[in-house]
Amino acid sequence: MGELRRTARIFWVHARVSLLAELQYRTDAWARLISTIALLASSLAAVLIVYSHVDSINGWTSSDLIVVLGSFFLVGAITNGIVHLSMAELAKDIKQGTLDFRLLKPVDAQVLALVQKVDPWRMLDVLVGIGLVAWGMAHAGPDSALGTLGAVGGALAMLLAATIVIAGFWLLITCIAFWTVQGEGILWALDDMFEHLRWPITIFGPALRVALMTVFPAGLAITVPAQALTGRLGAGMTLVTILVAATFAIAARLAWRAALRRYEGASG
Amino acid sequence: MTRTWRGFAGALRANLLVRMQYRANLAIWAFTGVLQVVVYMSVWRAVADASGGSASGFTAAEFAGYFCAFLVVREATYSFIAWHMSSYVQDGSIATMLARPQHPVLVLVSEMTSYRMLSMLLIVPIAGVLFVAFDATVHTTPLAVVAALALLPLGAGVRMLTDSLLGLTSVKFIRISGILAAYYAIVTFFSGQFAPLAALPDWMQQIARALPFWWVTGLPAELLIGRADPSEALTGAAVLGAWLVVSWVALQVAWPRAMRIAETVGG
Amino acid sequence: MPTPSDIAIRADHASRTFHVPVREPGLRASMRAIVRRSTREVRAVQDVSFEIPRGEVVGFLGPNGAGKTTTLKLLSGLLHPTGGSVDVLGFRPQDRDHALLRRIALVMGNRQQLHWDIPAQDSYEMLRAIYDVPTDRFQATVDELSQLLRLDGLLDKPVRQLSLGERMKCELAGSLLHRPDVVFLDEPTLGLDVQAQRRVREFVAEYAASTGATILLTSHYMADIEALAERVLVIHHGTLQFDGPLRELAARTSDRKRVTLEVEGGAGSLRARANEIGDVVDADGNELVVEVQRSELRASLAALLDLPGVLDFTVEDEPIEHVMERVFERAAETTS
Repeated sequence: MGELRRTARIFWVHARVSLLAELQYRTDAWARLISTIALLASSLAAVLIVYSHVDSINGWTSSDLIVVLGSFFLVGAITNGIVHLSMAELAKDIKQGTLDFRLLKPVDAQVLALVQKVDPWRMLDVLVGIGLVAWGMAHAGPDSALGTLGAVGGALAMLLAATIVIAGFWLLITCIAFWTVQGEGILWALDDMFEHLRWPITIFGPALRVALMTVFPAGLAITVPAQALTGRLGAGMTLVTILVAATFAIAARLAWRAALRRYEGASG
Repeated sequence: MTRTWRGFAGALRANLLVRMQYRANLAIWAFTGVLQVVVYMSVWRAVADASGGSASGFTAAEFAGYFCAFLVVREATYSFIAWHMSSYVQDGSIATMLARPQHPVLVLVSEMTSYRMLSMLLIVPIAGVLFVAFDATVHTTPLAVVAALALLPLGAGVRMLTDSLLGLTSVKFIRISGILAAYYAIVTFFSGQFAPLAALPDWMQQIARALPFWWVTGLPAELLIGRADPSEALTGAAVLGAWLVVSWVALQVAWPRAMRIAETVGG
Repeated sequence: MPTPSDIAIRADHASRTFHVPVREPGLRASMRAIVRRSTREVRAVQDVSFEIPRGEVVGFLGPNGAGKTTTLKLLSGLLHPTGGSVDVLGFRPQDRDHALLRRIALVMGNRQQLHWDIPAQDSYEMLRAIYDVPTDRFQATVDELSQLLRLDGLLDKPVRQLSLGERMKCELAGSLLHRPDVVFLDEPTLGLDVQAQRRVREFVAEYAASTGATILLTSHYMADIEALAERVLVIHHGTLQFDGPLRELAARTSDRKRVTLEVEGGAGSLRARANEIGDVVDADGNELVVEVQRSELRASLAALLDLPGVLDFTVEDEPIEHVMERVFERAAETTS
């Protein structure tokens, strides 16, 4: 328990440092606001245009899609607001040799690597996400399962699972980047790919669906909280999510260890 | 003129060498473009199926054909120059570039071209694979295909110029990620990337025709799948030509002003 | 005979080898590299053994690429030895036991761990949380270090606004906030101006004296070692060439000075005469380089300046590589 509290404290301390650093650059606030608005506007426009042709796709109505968007913003805050940035910082540390400092701290370097940078503006996306979810739930039909306590509880559990999936996957990819010495390029590409996943993966064909659950599991991470909230989350999907989360967590740990060994081998 | 060309060719070769070093990077970036197209393709196929077979005159198979064609034309014309230029301005390396005998825009164009040469080698086969995998259909003519291909260099030129203009705004605003986000959102909807023109509401279709982006990618894509008449290519060439002139002139006007601002900010 | 608990650091036939990829220029070679990748072996550290008792200040001296930084990384646990073993405070450093990490510190002269955009004080707060230092003890340490290093007014400015020397001082302080028992300093004065170098040396000496910490310092500046270490380990080509009191090394090595003369006409014609005054190292074009004994510098210099056609001169210490070569020659002589 003490270790958990210490980890939480370490996380908070890093978030605080990140926040302090970000506040040094005030011009960013506007750029961020416009980015979020652009993202929100284009997402809503996409839903509106698509649903001007049909009322539901595979059972998903437009309000359901708004909930998916909400999940997208919530998971996006974690992915692009913390994990991606921390991994970019990790890649920089490897390139500059400053990873040495992190490895000598009396804290699990892997945990530290995942939470070392937090984007405070991106945390506002959490509010956007919650807002979208609330709106979607409010406009759902009377027989929809939206808004039940079970749904919210399930969603929180799925968000936790989503976080593990995202963190595990991103760390795994970053570690592989060590071996091929490609640096941060891959991370920005992943960031980009994430932006495209504003749709529930169940409306995709089987090949793409499986790919977005395993090869690039961000699709899974965004879909399952939305499924929980709209009462669609079945036992099968829950099991798959847990399995995927566990697999990536383990794979990431192994990759991290291997990457450190490789980092040692390259330094001098 | 020969010196400029030789310099350009030299830069191209150097860029190609660098890109080969980062071959995995190239593959990943090419793939993000593929993912986006596949996602939109899947969404619209699902819409067609849910609409009883077709939506806006496209069946699921025809949507697939459209997006495969779009993948190719997008790769042939898109540009990351706005993003690169703003980062060069931000880290101050624009000053070093200005000290060299090659115009920075030409340097960026050669970077983009070298990237494109290699990425097309990846994308065209992938588009072919997707075409088969998603059971796409097209009803096109050789003339339409030739017309589409002919438009692509014009479109690439227009995109690179508009991107350069956008990149220049960073001398004033430094971090232009917000402006770029808005720009890319506009491009996504009004270039035919999100959906073929017919699937958009009328007012959006009108805006799309007024902006250059649909003429760069949407029209060639529709020509490739036989949905646009080859005669529209002539209109397209004229429109793109006009945009080319307008943006080139704008760049000539904006460039010295922007460089002056960049100097006063210093680095 | 020091007991095991008195020994802070022990290296026992430690070795470290790297496999470095080899890459050639050109388009064809790049394409070949896609299929086949070649590496070459680098023996950075070979069979190094020594013991350092607690509280000692030891200098690692050697030219660039000699293996000093690699040895330091072996001792701090950043690298694991490919041969032999290393022990620090009873731990194997490569295990990176948190209990050990709380008691050691690594400072690298050309790399920084303090956050660039925020004041050092805020980074210190973060370090306090990471090392779990109680608040009152922490404040006392900050005050003490602040006084020793003269950090007044530096701690509340963003680090990027500080000069290189000021930044280095803040870095040093930041590395010692948890009061480590063992401190590894890798080229701590690298890139600093003469004044800043002196201040860093003074600080390290005072810190060692007041805390009793074991300090390992690497440098290619003889002056760093002279100011701080009683004992010196000389590393060259990855092997330990000398381990003993500094006075002994100093006696062997700093007895020569190098005089470079700019002459009108050919330096070659003056070679014979210059050789009577000292040892000619080079006589090429307009430059004549002569080494003379330090004790006879004045007389030798006067004689050299008397040579016809001398326009200008400079006097320097012998380059460290030459010093090393002669140390090793002498070491080889004494062992044979």
